[in-house]
Amino acid sequence: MSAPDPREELVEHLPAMRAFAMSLTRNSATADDMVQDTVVKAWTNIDKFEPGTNMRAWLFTILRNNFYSNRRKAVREVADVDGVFTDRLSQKPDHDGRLQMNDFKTAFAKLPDEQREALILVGASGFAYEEAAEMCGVRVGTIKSRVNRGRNKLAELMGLKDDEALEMTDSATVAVVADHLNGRLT
Amino acid sequence: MSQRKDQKTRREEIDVSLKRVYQEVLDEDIPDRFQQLLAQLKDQGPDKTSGGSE
Repeated sequence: MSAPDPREELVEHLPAMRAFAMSLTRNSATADDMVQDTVVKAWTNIDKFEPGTNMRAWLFTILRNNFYSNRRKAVREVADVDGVFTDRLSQKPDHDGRLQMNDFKTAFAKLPDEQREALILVGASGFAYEEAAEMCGVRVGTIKSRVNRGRNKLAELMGLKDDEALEMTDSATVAVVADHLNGRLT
Repeated sequence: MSQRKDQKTRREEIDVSLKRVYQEVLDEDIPDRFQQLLAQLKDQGPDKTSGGSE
């Protein structure tokens, strides 16, 4: 029996790749395009993959490199938060839960790319800090710092939402928020 | 103040939410385009450096 072709394994990682891509691009159409590019690249460069090592990590690395190089080249894309997230609104009749998920998704989309990436790799995909650091080409401390800052930022954004249903659309509202925050800090 | 407790709870909520957002996409059916793509790539033959056009 010949050794299994690692390319046969690619299809198993597609859902995870899509999930990771969505969190990076915040836009479904772009995410799937990016996954497609990644699959082609992985396929034609499969000889660079070392059998027995973590294929998902290898694929995620190609994908995120693709994302960052496109980000440098391309015109800034509008984050289609609604497209990615509201389509996927939880169907569960969990009243508070659904509101919270909306708030979470909106807040998450506001984070810097590197923080979203770190949170998804470590918090959702289950990679260790060391693995995530290697995939992102940074030190472990940098990943930890991104995760912590991302979490703090999310907590802060969601903390606001819990207390007052804000749209943050007008300066009056922003002023109210600022006052509230100042009140909290004293 | 219960601020510290709120923070911890909030972090746990965040982790749960992260996983949930991720899982939602994992649970989706893979769009046809990917099956088609894989079929196309396979058709190109065992040549690993077939260099499919972008």
